[in-house]
Amino acid sequence: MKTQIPEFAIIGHPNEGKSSVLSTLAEDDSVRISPIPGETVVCQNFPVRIDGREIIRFIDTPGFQNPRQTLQWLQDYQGPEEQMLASFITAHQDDPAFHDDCELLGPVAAGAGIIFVVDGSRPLRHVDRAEMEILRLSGAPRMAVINCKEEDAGYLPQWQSEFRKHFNAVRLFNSCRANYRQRIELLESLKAIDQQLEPVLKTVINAFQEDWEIRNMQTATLLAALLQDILAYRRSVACGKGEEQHKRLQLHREYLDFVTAREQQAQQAIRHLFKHNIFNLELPPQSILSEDLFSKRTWEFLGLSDRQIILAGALGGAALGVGLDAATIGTSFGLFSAVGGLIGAGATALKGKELLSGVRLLGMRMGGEQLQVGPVSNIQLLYILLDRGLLFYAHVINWAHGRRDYEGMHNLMGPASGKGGFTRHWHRNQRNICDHFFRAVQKGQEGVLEEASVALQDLLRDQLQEISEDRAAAGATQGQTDGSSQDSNA
Amino acid sequence: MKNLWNIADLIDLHYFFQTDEVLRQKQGESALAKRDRIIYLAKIEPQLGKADDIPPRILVRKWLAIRRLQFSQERGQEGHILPGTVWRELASLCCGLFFLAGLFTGAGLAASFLIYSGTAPLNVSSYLGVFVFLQLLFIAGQALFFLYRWTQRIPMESTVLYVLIGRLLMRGMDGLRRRLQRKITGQQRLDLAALVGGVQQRKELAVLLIWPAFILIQLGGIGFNLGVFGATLAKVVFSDIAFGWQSSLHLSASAVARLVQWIALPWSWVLPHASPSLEQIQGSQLVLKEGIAHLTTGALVSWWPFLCAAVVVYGLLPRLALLVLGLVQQQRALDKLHFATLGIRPLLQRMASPRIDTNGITEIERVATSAPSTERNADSEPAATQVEASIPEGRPWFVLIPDELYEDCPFPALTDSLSSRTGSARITYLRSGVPGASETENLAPLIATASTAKLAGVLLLQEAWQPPLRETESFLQELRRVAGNTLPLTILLIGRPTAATLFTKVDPGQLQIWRQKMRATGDPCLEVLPLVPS
Repeated sequence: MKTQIPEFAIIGHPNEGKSSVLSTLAEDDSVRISPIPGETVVCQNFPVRIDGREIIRFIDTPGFQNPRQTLQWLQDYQGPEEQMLASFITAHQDDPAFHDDCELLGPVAAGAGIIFVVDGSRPLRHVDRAEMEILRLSGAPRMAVINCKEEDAGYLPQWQSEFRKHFNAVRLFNSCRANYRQRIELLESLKAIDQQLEPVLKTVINAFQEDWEIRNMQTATLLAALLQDILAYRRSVACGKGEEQHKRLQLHREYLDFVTAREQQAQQAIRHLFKHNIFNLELPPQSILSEDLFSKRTWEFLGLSDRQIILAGALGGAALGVGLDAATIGTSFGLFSAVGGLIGAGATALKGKELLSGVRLLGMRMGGEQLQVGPVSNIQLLYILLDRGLLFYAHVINWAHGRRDYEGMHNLMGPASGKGGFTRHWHRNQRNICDHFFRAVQKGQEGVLEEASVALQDLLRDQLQEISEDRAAAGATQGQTDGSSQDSNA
Repeated sequence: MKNLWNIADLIDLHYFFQTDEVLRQKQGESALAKRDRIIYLAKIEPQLGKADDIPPRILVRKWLAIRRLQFSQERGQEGHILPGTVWRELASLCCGLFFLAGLFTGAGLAASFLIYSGTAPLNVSSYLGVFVFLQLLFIAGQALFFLYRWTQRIPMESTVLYVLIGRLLMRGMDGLRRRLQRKITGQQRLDLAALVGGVQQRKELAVLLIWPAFILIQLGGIGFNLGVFGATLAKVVFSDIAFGWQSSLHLSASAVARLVQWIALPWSWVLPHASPSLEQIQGSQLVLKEGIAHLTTGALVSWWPFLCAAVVVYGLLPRLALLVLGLVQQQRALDKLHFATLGIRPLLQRMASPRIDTNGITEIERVATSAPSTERNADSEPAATQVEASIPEGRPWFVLIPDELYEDCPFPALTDSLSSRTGSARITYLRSGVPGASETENLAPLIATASTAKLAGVLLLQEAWQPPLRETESFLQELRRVAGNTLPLTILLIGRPTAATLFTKVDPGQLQIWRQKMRATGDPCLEVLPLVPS
């Protein structure tokens, strides 16, 4: 390595997912990826910066175009070994047929380490052996990454045994499924390819981990602020006789709009925190007001169809274990629509449901000429919001930057996901923190609220860390947010 | 079989090939095979006999006629017109327009030139200069150019204009491609390369378009001369026109008379009076300071037959001759067209080969899936690197199989499939891409055969999931070098191998990528087909 910043060239056969691996490793979803071979024609640097300080640099390269001829040339080469690649480039740089080969060997000649990417779902061929031999002759520190694009692992042993002959380290890495933990593991194994790289890579990994913790902390703060804003929502309007119905509708609508906008704002902030520019779980606005508002499904999710539950739903409501379906993210603000739907005209449209329950839920009071909404009196909403936030987080961090089947995103939130969120697995003391926070918001005491908010943020930060390390339990069944099971939904 | 093909036919042929490509993508190769086989069996065989005995240009012409008929029956009522018809109509429209434009220009120019007010007679040398000598100069220039090319044996492709336009176009496209290289996506890059390759592939057709342009120019010239001739005659008949000659040099009338006799030589034997006599020449010499009063009327009007004859002989007749030359050359260019470059081979194969589709499973699938493991026993595997199927019949085909697939290749099944596909049993299998060996070594038997006998074609087995590399293109170029420019090369694609068989269906996306990549090479005799029909 010429510089202190470790450089790694991602090299391989065309169309093996080099750019995809790089996109995931560098958390950059702007890397162009396509199923057409030859998408990448020039080397492109992807520096990873933390606090403006470049800590590692990945280089995307075009695929080999003349592996056999290149190998032949290198084998016939007579000059000094350290000049071999540079001589190859000098000899071929004016030949357009060798443009890609010169381009991809450029960074290696300049001292970059090699991450050789292959698609492990296909059989090994002579050209692959030629490419491996070229890289071996280069003498650069190198690691093989088997990017198993499809679920076909039949050729894996063949690849692994061949790789052992040519590479210092071999790692399985699914660029479309890899999450934070797998990224860190890949970086860890890079340490093994060259002892000299170890200290600097250690720094890189520490920086990555620190950065991740900071992002989690920021997410926790965002979620706590979201809860505080929504739970403390309070509006009152003057209401003359006869316009009560109209005013209730208006209040209801305003409340929905507020919740929608506030939650979206928090989600966007989380998305940007995790450097997702394209992947977006934004939801269609019409579902808020139209079909989801009174949909039976929404009621079932919430367990609100039973009037008794709602009536009993004071502070202890959470203990009833009202689950949250992962699909709620898909059904958008149907939840809130339903919650809000209990007030005003919504309640009358629900026929059987009594207005009273809605009043209790949202804490709407009618005193004389005043109509008032909020603050929320049912802690259930806190858990719903929390679960939605955590689920959103889980989806965002588990969506690899190299994954581009955005149409598959909507399937993530299908109705098959089963009921339940993260919070239903929480212990009593974790719930206590939430209760404490909820009461503090209700009472609106500054000092107490501050303290409760800090406690909640700590709780959330730990929870987020658990989710990113695949340790958190979610849903009715264990391991709901486990990368693999989530992806199988997709 | 002269006059069999014309440009409109070629345009229609390419149009049908293009629509077939769309159909192939939608419904697969089998749909095309079925349609063309039916056309052959129902319409062509009863009239012309066996496909093997019919020259391709006649067979394809017949196929084209039937496709045209089908097109007019199916889509003609909806108002769809074939591009060949459009070309034909446009061409005749252009001919008419050029002729009329020439006619009006000539008539207009002549009419405006021939205005005589009675003060000074019209200058004969100006008329001759503008309407005769200028044209002669153009024709002579063109003739010299043709003569030079003919003596130097330079083909049409090296016409300065053609080369300039062609190079500009190619360089422009190349420059555009390079400039866009970094900005466009892989798919766009592939499309662009295929487009450029396609244009290169049709370079030979572009030559054909030179002659229609040549003919158009001649028609314009003929119109121009007729216009000049007509306007002069009309002016002479319906108005009083006086012609005279003048010069600042002390030219004697006799010298002018000699010059006039020389010019009139071509028509003097048929129209002896269509040139002025010495007296008339003397009588029509204009000296400005003396005025025109002394000039004799007879001498002043004696020039017009000479001028009209000069326009006909030096303007009209050469243009007519050139028109005939253009028409003849156009037909010759069409006759010379190398039919193998038109990509008709797949069509001929589709018409000639019987369709095997028992229960929807093709032969190769049946063989490959029924007994894959026993198929690959020692008996069926080749002992040497070269396997030749038994019956020597027809021209030999070579099949290049990548080294890594060679051992696992079920040769009996492959031979069955290829025999029915090529209609020949002389199939030789060769290993390609053997590590450590040069391709020339690998291709040695092919080179040896090609030097003694004519090959029927070379088939290259390739795995579609392996993206085509520059290395593949270089190999194809090498193959072209040893096998000739017009030898049919076919890349037979197979899909990802399964535990049961090597011959699986090809992913349509990968097939498309291969087709586009190979089109980009600009090789008109190279085609890409899936081994197992989809």
